[in-house]
Amino acid sequence: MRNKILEILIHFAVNRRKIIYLSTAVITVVMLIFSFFLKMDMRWTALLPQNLPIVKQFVNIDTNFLQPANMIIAVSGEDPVMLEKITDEITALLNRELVADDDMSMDEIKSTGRYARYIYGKLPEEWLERNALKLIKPYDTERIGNIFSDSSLAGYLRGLNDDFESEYTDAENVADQERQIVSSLNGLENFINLMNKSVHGEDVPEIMIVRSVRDLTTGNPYMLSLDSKMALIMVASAIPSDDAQTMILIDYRIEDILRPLQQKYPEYRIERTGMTAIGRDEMDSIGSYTAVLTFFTFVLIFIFLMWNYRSITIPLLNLLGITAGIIWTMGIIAITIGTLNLITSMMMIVLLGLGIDFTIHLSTRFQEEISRGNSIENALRVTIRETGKGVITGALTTSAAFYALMIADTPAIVQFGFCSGTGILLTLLSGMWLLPAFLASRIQSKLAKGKEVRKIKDLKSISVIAVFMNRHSGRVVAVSVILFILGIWGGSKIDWEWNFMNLEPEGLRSIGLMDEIVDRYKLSVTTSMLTVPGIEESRKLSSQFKAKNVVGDVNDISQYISRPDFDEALVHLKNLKVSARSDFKFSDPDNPDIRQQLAEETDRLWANLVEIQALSVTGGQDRIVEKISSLIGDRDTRDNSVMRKLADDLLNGNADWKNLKSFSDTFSHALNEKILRMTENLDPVKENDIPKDILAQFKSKKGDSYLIHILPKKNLYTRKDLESFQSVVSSVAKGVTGNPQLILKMNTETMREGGKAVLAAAIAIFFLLLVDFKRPLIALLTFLPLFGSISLTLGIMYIFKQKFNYINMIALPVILGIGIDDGVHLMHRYLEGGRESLEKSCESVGRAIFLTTVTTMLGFGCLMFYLMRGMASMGFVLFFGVGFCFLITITLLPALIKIFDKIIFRKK
Amino acid sequence: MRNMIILLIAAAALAFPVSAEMSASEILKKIDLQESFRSNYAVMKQIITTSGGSKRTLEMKAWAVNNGDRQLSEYLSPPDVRGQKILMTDDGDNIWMYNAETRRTRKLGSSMKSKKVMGSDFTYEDQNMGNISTKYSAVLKGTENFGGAECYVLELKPLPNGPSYSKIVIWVGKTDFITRKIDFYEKGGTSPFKRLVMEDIRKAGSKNVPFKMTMRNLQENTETVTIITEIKYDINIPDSYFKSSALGR
Repeated sequence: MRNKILEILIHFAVNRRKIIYLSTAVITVVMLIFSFFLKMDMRWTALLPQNLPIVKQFVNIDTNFLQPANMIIAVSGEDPVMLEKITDEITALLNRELVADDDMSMDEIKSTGRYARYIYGKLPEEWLERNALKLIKPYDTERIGNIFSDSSLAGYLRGLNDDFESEYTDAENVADQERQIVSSLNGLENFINLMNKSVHGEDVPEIMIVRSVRDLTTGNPYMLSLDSKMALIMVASAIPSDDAQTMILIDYRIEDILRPLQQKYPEYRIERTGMTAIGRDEMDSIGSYTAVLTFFTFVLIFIFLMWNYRSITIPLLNLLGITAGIIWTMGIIAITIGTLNLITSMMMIVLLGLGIDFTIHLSTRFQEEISRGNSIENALRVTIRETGKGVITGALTTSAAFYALMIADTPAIVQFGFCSGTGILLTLLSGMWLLPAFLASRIQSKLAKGKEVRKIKDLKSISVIAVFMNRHSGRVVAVSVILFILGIWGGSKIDWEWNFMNLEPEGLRSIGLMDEIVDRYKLSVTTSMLTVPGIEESRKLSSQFKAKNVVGDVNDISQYISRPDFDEALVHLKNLKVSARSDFKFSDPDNPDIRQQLAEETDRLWANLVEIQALSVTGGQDRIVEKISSLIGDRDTRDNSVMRKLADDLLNGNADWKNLKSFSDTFSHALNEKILRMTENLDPVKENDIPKDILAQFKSKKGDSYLIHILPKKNLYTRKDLESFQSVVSSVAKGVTGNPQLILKMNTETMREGGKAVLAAAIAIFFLLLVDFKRPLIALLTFLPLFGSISLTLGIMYIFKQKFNYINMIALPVILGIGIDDGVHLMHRYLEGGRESLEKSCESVGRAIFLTTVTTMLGFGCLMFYLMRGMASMGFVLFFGVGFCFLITITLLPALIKIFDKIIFRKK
Repeated sequence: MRNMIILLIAAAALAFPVSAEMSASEILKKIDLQESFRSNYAVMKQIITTSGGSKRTLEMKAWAVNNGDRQLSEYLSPPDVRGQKILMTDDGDNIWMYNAETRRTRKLGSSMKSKKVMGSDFTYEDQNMGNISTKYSAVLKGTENFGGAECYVLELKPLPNGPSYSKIVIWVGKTDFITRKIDFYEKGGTSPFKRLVMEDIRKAGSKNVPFKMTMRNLQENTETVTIITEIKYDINIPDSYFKSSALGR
């Protein structure tokens, strides 16, 4: 069968070159047209089995709900008031420039550049004022009622202290109510600072006091950090997230829109983050660099081949031969799969590295035969019949290795296996079909012009090494075994890279900002999600998630809807309304009793904060510790803290009482007014009352389910963190999905299936070697360099502290696929030449396998200089893997041949 | 503080040979007998590991009398909690907390018994298991080797007004009656949500005491390791140590 095909190829290369050129041109043009329909799908979900529940759920959420956390604008600077102002300006600007009308079609959205559905800069203040008290538990309503029942300054402080002392008695209570405490401390910090200013004679503008009252009652509506030095704005996209190319455009557009504001407020940083911004930054940083690197790689390979062949044309013909095959592959992928994913997008580089090997073997042999004085026809016959056999075996084993990857469950690996396997076969086909014709035409043209055909110089050094190794076979085998064992030992120590951000280019601001957000907010915006059919189910699960200590915060629709036990809360609300109406009185700091009360309550507040801080330290509530520290410092700096000084000055009478009276009056009045407005309407809040932008965050487009957002306390960068988080959220409810879950799954699947893929590739290669050589011993000898190469590569990874990741894991079967060629060619030539032919075989094949190794190492080696660290690690593994394959083929294989040659030839 | 558990589970001697036919209630009584003490003083450190892997270390000293019926612990570090004291009396029914910085003493409600102590994985009632034969009914489930010792495996269910767990399963040495492991079950739970493992059993005076105890929350992946650095038995401890009004002294 193989011989028949080879004869047909010879026939066409000798007699029907025009048919070859014409058919190639037609097929290439058709495939090129198909390849234009190839789409890029860079989503994580595309890499995982689509039938996995977490993937299905993620895709469902992605399709049916808005995803505002994907695009985040962070404003940072010193003054919280300015942060609020800038946030308002950004929100208004984006609403004006970026938000699409409800009735806009997707085409209109894209053509107008109005890519956003909603902008979330702050919660609607008026709505909060009317409804905040109607959204909390009856027990908490009672507490609020007690705190605000007396709106005088001293009365408020007393109410607050009573509440602190009854509620926060133990570390577990503090832990359970961490969010509430942090929220109230945010307002309290601002209030204490204003009161401190007033006590020390500074004028406090009324607007600041009103703002402080807002923060103490309804809470700050902005997404301010714990240190009040950062505000976040989220952009809900109108573009589906699978439209990666448009998603990137949104980020460019936002940057354009915000540029004037950044110029207007140079003291403040206005920056972007979220998965969309990271994707865009990644493309920006690697885009032009990649083009330069690829061009540089091409040039390097070209120069090397030019030097070898002493010709410009032969390298060009080699590249042309495989370029056709690569175009065919893209066409076939477009027809069959239709998309390239994060992994298969690297196909062209891999195929270039692999395909060039076939053409090098063919053109080297052809040149060799022509140099020996053979006619074109004879040179073609020998090249295709003899070298072609090896090339075909090499290509088939390589493609089998790749096809074997298709037994995996993960689409990332399955598609990579299919694309690479098919690509190898098609580049083999294009190389075998096109290159001999090219080479023959070139020589014919040269001879017609009377030009001399240059002879390729032999590469003696490889055969010298091989013969040396052959003579010292015992020692070579012993040293090899020791090195392999060391390599495997090193490999067993290699860790897995769980932090996906470490695979991205170094120093990306959008990634740095994600970490900064965790530092400032003590929670991560990498959310997990769950859908539920009803609001009360959402409330129940949300409360259970909040109770878990790995969870930083939970957002769901029930936060905005009155509880079923609202009637119990109503009693307390009515009481609060009555007390706000009837008991309103100004406290008079001129009155010594009131002064004494103020001083004692401030001192008591200091003590309460000290105790809550101590409980938070033992309970690990870092957010509370940090927040309280800004008021009372830590144990060693207590005396200099704002709170202590304020309490001491009031206790010692060192206060500007007149100024404080003014502050007290304004505060009491503002608080009283606020409570009256907050209790004006006591009808429960229902779904219809929720502003539509808030509702859209939680309710599906179909209206049949609600979304819960679960935010971890920190970015989940380690296996332990990811697994702990997943285990905890799964203990509450099944079906939680999101980037943490996908990343965990992606890593565990690649770890599991990567090993399986290497094994499957190895088995497939060995089987094909068995079929080709028909002798188990020869198949085994040819296979051993692969094993050695993998173990040495693991060893070098260990030495250079490389970690495994989902990208370089794919490189291991690629090494098997590429590396087998060297052994196959050497063994074929050796068997062809006979028992004493090792030196000659190495002289003949040595040049070709050296060339293929160097070109492949150059191609993959350049990947090591990629900014994208994941790709660089793949380059590292391939560079050394392919290099070791060559080294072992010219060292260990000759040694093994020496040991087993009697058996090989006796049986033959 | 944590020494109370140690004391309660520690065996006083190995001098009580037991026949293979012992009933569950007899084993419980043996445990209580072995773990009983008049008074003790201990210095220990506690390493709390959160589910995210971050660690906090607390150091404390503790006094207890009458099988832990009254116990006082004082925190030595970190600085933010230095001097903080927790007093438990009446078998854990009354709990007071004293803050050295504010010099205030607060009484905690009895509902706090099932709450975690100072952010650890131990609750107040874990620290005050007292005489377990008076709090649980037991069923002998079999024998099993654990930590190199042949153990009785007992399933204990709380008596009315007993501890808050739905049940606990304990592994007790067949010869020394030292508790090696306890699995804690929540109401409605079919698998344990917490596990306490006692190791490094050594002599302290006349008693065998586990010097290392690891309480692991299996649901939340948190862990608290208590290591005793010093322990003394049968010392004289003034009654005033266990008075809430004297905590500030």
